[in-house]
Amino acid sequence: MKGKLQINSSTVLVLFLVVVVIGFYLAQPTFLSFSNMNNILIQAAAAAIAAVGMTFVVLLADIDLSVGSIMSLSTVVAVSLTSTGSQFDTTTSVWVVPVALLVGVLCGLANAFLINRLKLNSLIVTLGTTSVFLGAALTITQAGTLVLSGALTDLVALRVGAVNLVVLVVLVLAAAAGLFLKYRPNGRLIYAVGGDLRSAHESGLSQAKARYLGFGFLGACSAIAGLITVGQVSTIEANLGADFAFTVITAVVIGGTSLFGGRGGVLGSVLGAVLLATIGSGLNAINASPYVYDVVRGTILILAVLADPIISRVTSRRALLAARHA
Amino acid sequence: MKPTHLHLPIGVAVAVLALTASACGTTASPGSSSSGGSGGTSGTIKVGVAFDKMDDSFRVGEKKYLDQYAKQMGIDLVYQDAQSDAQKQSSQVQSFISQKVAGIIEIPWDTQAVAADISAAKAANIPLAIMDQQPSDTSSVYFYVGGDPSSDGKMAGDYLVKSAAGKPIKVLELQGSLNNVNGIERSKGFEDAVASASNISIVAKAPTDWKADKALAATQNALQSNPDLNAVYAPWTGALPGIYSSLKAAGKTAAVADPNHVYTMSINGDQIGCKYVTSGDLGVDVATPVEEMAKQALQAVKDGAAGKAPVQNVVELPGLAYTPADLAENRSKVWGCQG
Repeated sequence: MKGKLQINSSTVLVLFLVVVVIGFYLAQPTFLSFSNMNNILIQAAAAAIAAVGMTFVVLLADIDLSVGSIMSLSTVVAVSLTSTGSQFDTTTSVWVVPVALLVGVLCGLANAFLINRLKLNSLIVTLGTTSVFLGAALTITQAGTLVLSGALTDLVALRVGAVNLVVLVVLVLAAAAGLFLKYRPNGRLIYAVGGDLRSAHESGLSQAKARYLGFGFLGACSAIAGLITVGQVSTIEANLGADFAFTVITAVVIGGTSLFGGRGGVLGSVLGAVLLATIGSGLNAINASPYVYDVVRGTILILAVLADPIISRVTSRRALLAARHA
Repeated sequence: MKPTHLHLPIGVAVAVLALTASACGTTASPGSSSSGGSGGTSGTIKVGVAFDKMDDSFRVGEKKYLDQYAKQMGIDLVYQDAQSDAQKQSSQVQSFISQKVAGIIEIPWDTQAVAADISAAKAANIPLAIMDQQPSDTSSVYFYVGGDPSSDGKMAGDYLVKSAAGKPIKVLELQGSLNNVNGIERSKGFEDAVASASNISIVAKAPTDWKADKALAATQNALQSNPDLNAVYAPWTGALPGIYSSLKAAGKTAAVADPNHVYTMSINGDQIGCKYVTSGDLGVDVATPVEEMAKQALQAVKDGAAGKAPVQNVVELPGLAYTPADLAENRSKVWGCQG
């Protein structure tokens, strides 16, 4: 089996991505240009980063619906505390980054704490925290719009050579997260807990610890996604992050990470986010209605979820056969 | 052994907390009073205000003027936020009716479903003034006051036709949300105004649901497909900061003073619009008369509570188009330029 090209969900995804790009290119030749590809990566960046974090949580067979609200709360708190100026002329400083990260991590840890302690489903708990975090953010801004300039908007617009800084951040983060999951003991902890909770318990592995790790990391990723988004649109609006959880979860699921836990990885999630952004951009380029995008996104998600148990069966059967032949 | 006996009480406690929190979330925001009974404090009347949503800077402006004029007119306001849910709004209006308020002001989320609220208020003999979003059927409405989105869009379009003066123009038309009368009419008004100009072509059109990040993505994508794009129409000012940073990244400028600038047009008249007209980036902003709208809505319910009928049932207030050139004289009439 070694050396043969593995047909797994990531290869299927890359193939699909190529087909989609070619399709849109044929409809609109300007679609396939270096600057447009760069554009798409920038548009995908926030979702891709959050998807990397969400991968950790989904691997644990949990879910986090509050990513959009964490995005909102972390950026609002960070900008309020570290900027100068007035509501419609807010000058941000570099300190907005560490403060946002801190708030994001705390929100994530709060999620994990509630899930561990209340022993309730993560879906229910994060449904509640979605409201709590967003409410806190709106209380601070009183639903007003903040117009931003300064260090944050400059950072987000920064290019390193021909590529945007934001794209590099995605690549570095995804690589680091992927290596962590594969090679570090705490990374393997996450796969173990998500894959087979009972044997993980029997081996003395802690689900609670894995959750703090996963949700905390996702909180940080949501904060970064928030900074990138508000840095690009140069505003913090009350509806920031409203639709975000859906996009991020879709990216993770179509990337091949199983909602049942224990299987998948960050590469697929990043590709999933890029695929969604490509489709969105392509539909824009051919002047299609954006509601088409919603239909497409939902359909892909359903197909991916349907494929999930099938791929699980195939993968475990292959592993079984490999073990027999070994 | 799993401590299952703890699940049920904890689950119930969380559910109760959630219900209480959501109930609290829909009642008055800071700055309004919620005295029981229909009288309010002595000499004042109590009016219920049913907003479709509050997480919007335009609503923030509307609330500001409602509060300001209510105080002057001796009216106590109680706010409800329907959080973009037509069912919720209907039940909130029903609550106002059963509280026997002196009057109700409503910004409807669903301009068809509001007909039910109109008949309910009529049956209870409570004056219901609709504000900002015109009901699809105004035949039995007690009072409606709002902007004129169609003429606002037209003013933006007329500005482009006039300042382009025959130059070939490729314009990106951003649209608000297409299930909303303001979104539909602002778009139509603009398109009608530029239809007659042969030098102007709408090369890209994108609904954005009034979301700045969708406006940003649409602008970036339009610049990719049309590198010689030289005009952008944004039917609300919240989209502008993102649009200007996309233009900047593409090496273009919107500054009116520059002969090669990208023409930008917008509507709202809020602080963001005023900011960009002042800086010379925004070519024209059409200020919707929020102050006048709030004043008239309050006056209508006050009159209604005293038994007087409004002179006119449906009032569409035209916006005021102002540009960097005429900012000095128009400044005082634009709500976003005040304070």
